[in-house]
Amino acid sequence: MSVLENALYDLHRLEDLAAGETFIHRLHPGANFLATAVFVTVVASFPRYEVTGLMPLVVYPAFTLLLADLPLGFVLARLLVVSPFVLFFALADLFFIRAPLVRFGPFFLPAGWISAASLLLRFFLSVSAALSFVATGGFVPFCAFLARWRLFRPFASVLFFVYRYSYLTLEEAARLVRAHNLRAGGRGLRLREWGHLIGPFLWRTYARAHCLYLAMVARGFNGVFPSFGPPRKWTGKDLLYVSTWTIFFLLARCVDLAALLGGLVLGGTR
Amino acid sequence: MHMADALLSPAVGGVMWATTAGLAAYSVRKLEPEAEDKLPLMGVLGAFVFAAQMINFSIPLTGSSGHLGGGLLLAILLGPYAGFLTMAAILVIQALFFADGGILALGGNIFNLGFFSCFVAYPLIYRRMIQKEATSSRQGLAAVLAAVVALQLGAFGVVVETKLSGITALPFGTFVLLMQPIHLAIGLVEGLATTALIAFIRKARPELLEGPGKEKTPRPGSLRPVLVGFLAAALILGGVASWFASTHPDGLEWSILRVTGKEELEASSRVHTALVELQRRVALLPDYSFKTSSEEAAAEGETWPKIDPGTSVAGLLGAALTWAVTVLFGTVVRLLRKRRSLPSS
Repeated sequence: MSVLENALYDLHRLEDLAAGETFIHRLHPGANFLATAVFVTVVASFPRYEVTGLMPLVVYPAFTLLLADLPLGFVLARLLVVSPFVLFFALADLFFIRAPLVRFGPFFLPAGWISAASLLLRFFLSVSAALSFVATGGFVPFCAFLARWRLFRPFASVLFFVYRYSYLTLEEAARLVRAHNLRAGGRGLRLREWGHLIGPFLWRTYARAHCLYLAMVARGFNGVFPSFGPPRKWTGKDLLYVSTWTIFFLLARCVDLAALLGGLVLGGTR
Repeated sequence: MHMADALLSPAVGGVMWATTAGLAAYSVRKLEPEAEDKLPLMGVLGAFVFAAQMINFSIPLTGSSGHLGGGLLLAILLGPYAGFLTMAAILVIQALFFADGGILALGGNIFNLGFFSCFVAYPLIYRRMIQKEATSSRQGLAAVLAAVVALQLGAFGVVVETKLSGITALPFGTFVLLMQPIHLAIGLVEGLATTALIAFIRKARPELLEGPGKEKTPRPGSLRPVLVGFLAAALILGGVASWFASTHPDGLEWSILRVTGKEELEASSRVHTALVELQRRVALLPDYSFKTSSEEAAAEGETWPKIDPGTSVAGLLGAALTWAVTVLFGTVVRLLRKRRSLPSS
């Protein structure tokens, strides 16, 4: 599958998952977003040489991914696609921080290895949390949540439009690339060809936007999507969800839960 | 050039979020009178850029490929405010659906990829260059120059934000030398791609280049975008300066110590002291510090976290147990689900 077809598949997959019926899917989108935002902030706040302290936090993405029935392979595939930039920083740590940090008899582990491991772990945690947010909360409820603030209502509409029309443009772009590949015998697009291919694509898109606008105006569009519906109210469950996770995240940040648990198993806390 | 959450500290990520939210609110305000008309167009063009970014073209003699970035094109077709909002929407979708970027890093990514192209490169370079004479060669040159400048500033933004977060061990100079030349090439490619599209539009639909946002585009001589830029920069510097003064030896101090041999950014003024105090009060775990140093590191003049082998073993064991329990829980839930779905199938 091409990159475009993969992207289309991902969009469909995440939208299907977001249509689930678990309690987490029924949460207020604000509650889901808030819990995820606190999570990524707490993960980012750990010192650069922290590894074990971060590990108990895996409970959150594991819990939400499990409820969303999102396979781990799906998340790992996304990580592989977007990881080169982070891997670059992890490698830089290996190269630049060589001072020994942990000693095992005659051997020692350089600090760079620890910070690289910490960086990759933080990357895994934050990416899986973001994916589970969309897979459990859905994107349209998130747009509706944003649209509650008058100031951000136009942005919520743009977000919704981009999301919805991405399905169409991705399909069309995938068709264009497939057609070129079938005729070019595997040779890549040249810039001039690219311009000739993308130009009409833009033109068609522009014309489509114009027709779309006229059709929407004819149906009484006034800048706010009726499909956003009336605003959802926060319930006790939403508050309990956010507060429980927030307490857990802060606890994990303040107390080394892994060391505490390990100490208990070994016969006493240190 | 999308930064991941793992590359930013909460302080830098938060400041960038606030700055970008402010810019988005400002753009919405500027857009409001014509928002109704423009929303579908912004959405569809956003979806177009989103798809077009994935259509690569080969770069001769390099064996590599390039693609459209889109920020400049959106500013040209929609005007800077609508262009910025549309670019922000694209980046939100990329972050949430494709893990390209992150939730905490979203503010920084929108700023680096949207602000510089829509509020700096477009009004100050592109518009100015084509103001007197909009020939096709001039438009092409303006697009290439604007794209290069936007990418250079964006790449520098990545360097500064990552360094201020204290995440990377790359020395500042090395980091800049790695990022800027790469993004010079990417900027040229982005500029050429934008030029190719503009050339097509110029022939096929020249009225699009007049742009529906032309009336609302800030005058080239207007200082507003510059002021907004300075305000944003001041916010970043002011907000983040307090975090430099942290007693933690890792992060920027550590990096600067390695690069320059001294901690140049140590707080000295009253404002700094006040911000340090504020940081001490609001920081997560203000008392968390690296109190001891290993002998080897001390010899190099660096401080390192205290490593207690007992705590490390307990930590590793505890972490392994947490993960094992999580995996076990997941397996049990999946088995139960499978068993429940069997009779019905």
